[in-house]
Amino acid sequence: MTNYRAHGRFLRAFAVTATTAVAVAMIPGPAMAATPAPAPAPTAVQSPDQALGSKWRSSSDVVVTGAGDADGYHLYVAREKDAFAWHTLATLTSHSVDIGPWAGSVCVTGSGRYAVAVFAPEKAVDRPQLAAAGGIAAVVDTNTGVAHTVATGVQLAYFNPSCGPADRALLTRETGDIDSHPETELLTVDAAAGKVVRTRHISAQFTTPAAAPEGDYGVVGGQLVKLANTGGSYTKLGHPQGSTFGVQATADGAVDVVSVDGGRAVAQRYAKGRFTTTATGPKNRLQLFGLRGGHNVLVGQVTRQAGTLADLTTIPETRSVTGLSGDGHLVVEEAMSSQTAQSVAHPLTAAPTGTAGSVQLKLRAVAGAAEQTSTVATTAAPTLDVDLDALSPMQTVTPKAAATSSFTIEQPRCAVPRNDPTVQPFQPSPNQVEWAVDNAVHGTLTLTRPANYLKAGLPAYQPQGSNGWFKLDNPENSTLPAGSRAVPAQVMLGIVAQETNMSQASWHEVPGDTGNPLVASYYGSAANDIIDYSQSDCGYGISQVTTGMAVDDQAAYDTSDQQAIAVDYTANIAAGLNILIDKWNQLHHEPAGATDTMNDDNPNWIENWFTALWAYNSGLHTYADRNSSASGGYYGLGWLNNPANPNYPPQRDGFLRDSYADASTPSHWSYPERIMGWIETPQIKNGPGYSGAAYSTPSYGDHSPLAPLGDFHQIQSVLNLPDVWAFCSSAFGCSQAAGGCPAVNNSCWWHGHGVSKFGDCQDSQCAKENAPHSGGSEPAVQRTYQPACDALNPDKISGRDTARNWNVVYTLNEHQQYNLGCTLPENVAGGKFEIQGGSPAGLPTTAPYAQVDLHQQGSGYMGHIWFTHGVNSSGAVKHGITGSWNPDLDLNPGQTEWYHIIAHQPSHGANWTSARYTVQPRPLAALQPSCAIDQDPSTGDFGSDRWVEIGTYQLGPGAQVSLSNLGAPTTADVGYDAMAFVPVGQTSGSASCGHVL
Amino acid sequence: MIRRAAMAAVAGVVLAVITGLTSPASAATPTCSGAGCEGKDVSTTNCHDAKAYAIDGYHSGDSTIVFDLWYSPSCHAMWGDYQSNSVTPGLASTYGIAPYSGTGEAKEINQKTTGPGQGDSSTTLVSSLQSVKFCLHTKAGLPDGTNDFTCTGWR
Repeated sequence: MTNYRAHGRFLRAFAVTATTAVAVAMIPGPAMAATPAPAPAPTAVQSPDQALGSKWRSSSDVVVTGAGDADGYHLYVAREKDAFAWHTLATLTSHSVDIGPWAGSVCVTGSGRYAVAVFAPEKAVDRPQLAAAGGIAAVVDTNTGVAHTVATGVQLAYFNPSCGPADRALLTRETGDIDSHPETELLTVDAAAGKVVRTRHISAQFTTPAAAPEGDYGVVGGQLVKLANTGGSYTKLGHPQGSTFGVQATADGAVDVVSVDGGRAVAQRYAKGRFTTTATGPKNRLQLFGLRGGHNVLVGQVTRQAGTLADLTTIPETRSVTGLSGDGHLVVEEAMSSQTAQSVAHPLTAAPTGTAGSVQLKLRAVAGAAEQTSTVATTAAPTLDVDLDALSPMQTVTPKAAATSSFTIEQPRCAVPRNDPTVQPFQPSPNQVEWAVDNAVHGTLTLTRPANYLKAGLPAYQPQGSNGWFKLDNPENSTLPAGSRAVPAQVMLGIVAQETNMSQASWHEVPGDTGNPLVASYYGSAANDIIDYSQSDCGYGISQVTTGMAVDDQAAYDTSDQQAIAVDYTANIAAGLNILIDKWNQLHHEPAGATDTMNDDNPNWIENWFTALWAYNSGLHTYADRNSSASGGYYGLGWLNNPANPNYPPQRDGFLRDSYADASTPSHWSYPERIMGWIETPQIKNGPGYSGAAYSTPSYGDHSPLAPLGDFHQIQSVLNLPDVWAFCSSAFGCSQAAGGCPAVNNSCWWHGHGVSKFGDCQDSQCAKENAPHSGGSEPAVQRTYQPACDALNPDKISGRDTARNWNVVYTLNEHQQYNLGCTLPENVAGGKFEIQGGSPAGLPTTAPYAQVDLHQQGSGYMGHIWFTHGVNSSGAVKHGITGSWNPDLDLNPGQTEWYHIIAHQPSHGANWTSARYTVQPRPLAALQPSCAIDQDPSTGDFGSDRWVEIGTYQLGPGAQVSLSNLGAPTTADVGYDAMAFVPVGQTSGSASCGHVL
Repeated sequence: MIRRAAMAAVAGVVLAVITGLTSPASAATPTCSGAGCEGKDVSTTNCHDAKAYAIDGYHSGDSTIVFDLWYSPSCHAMWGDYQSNSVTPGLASTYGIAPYSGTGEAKEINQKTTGPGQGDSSTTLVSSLQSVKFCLHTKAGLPDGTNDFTCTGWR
């Protein structure tokens, strides 16, 4: 059964249960013995004597893997002596960050005592600055699960972290201008001490670090280098054969590397000053791992080339794998949390309760070649909750130069505010998104939004109407006649899938909800404890429209345009599309010799948008601006998204071609590659009454390439994508042999160094759009929840005093701003709802931070609630939230009356199981706490809206009910919904606290 | 230093005391509502009608310090009322926080100089649609020895 809840923060304490889903290698059990052996743990390797060999009971082999979900990045450990039965080792998270599910990577030090993990929100990689230096690094004791933060601001890349011999590990942080002059900080971690013991600054892009007993190695400019023990200097050791994606040292001082050379991978050993080829294999099926004791192992389809090396062994494997146990006895082929799978496959619904907190592991025991898939429940484990605000300066990334803007903590830079009743965007369902895109690309998104649409106070408008707000500007310089040129719908659909999972409103909302706008870095930081408006990104809505969406950037849009882009998915798609078209046009406006056209330059082919997508994410350095100080005489598309950038593993398959698990490691692909992946493999929609692909796949050409798609287990047509080296020209010193662009500066910018041709579109090798909804009218939203529009009947209250008015205090004092379609009942007295943040409330230096984790949502009574998360006493200083209901009771000064107080609880958006409201019956009267109210709505497929009685109180004018988030778990959603006050005249029939009406 | 108004048990006051502090004005039609009352003198608006009441306040045990935050349901407005003959020279201020906290910080809405011999006095009206508190700040500390910056709760 599926429970469609809007929030990720509902992971409970999980029962210690686990199930083995599939045991591929079914091996007969041993003969009956007098004393039956204890049953193996459900997640253990089945028939371990056969699968692991006879010595498994005395083995000290251990493996650690990780998977992220909305509550954090979870580490799981298994030991061979337990037949590799899995249990949760630790959970790594930060309450300071609330921007969606977590992802990470982990390695185990040579001693096996410590795991080193780098973790960050999954979406961080979409922001180049966060990909370069946005991760948190922690050391975890593999015995106890106790974890310590060792650094923040580390790189999110496939080679980070890197574990070495003993208890040493290396971390990278990319600094400098990541699009033109990337540099690297290399942090040495002493895992036993739990801290960074050395930081070296390398004036180059340094990748694939490897710690060795006598020093550290890595790759700079395609060459294997050895770093000096102090400072950032290094010695070049020579060029491996191809572009290196793995480096491991041995205990004896040799260094193994694996590189891509053309269509194959080459393993080489560097020893005594020279490289010797040790093995070859398919480029995406040869991996290098370090083992305990300083041995290395090649995993994959390995063809050995040299004589036997005692410290370089081989494990056959048919697929690319995630990890390996320290002694190489167990292969972790894939680890993906159920929530991650859900977020990829079903992006617009939260994970079902039944799978919350579980991880699916695809495993293979090496000795017996036994494969199995295990579903492991995430159980209570030591949790590292990183307080980014409390870290010492040594642990945090060096801040960038102080901003020169005049923004203060009181003056947001982003033009359209959060937590504003006039800004409640609507979360569309996938069918609406595809309809809007199909029409926008053809300029027919011309429906008329009525005045005050979504209660935003706007005049009537057409997203692509004659008023020219977002009129489609057809691509220029095409050989095709105007009118027959269009952006292929799938290109825009891939963008909205990658950027926002097709969400216009906050990621907390499901289709049919309203809520806060989805704004990238509204407060200028991913951390809840930092507000720096000068760093605000201001990317709004489903297309993450940034240009023109700041108060100091109104050249593109006026205030009404900005508001429409923030609240209306159709306006946002129209605006985002224009930005994409503008990038195409920019590329074509470059002078001859500097253009970046592709194939036959026909915009109707999806493949031909690769460079425009590149520019959409990281911009185009135009020829006209080449003499600016930032460009230094160069121009073109930056190094960041060049597929040849060594920050991306050169042996990679296409994004999502192997597995949906690719979505949990997006940093392994450049932005345009990720978009092309979402075009080939659409997200899956899943809601009440519908399921399937969230949008249509392209119309492939008759001669489009064929490829096996891992999760589909079938061969199907795919896009004709450029090779990793397609934008690497000797004209600017880039080559596969050099492992990229050794200069790693502005000279690496791509600008038409020969026309890129990687598909003959005229020969039907390319794909076109498939826009089945073009021309139709806007479809109805496929709601996840029906709004709670049924009015409370006060006559349900026994003993109601009908001679006196009853009250409902809504969570929006401006009742006209309720925009979910409910009709608010008339002739009901009201009152004031208010929210104060911080402790003490309103203190200018701390209270603004409380807004960061405050959210409005279109759920609850008549379609509006507020919610936040729990805090402890120290957290309350910045993140304390108190909501108060102040009824205008039908009483004169000095009068009192007995009232039932009833709090509405939403079907989704609140789940604190012990919310205690505080009742102040009259001004200055003693406060009376209520019993613990369960806000968790989990019943059946959906949560349920309901009225819950708080109690019966003798109230006078000025009575107030309040609810604080102080004391709630940081993982709990603390909800503020409507409150009713029904006069009963006497205490008989008193409300039973917690009773559901 | 800011502190919330002491609760009844601390200050030794009861509701009956604060609700009877001032006499309501005649039952005439209010002349303003909500934000439209901002900055107006309560005596010119008919907001202080029979429905108005002190929604929070602070009274010292010896009544040398008396100030209240008043609320008018008819006007959706609030104002501070204080007896300035009981305090040393200082400032009476109302502060506001936007209805749903806005950007979070409290802002001083109005301010009035207090001093001995002025009798009962009031601040100008503020909209009650925001969160409001009323503070008294004396330059030489309060006679009862409490802090020199005393406020009602947020209402």
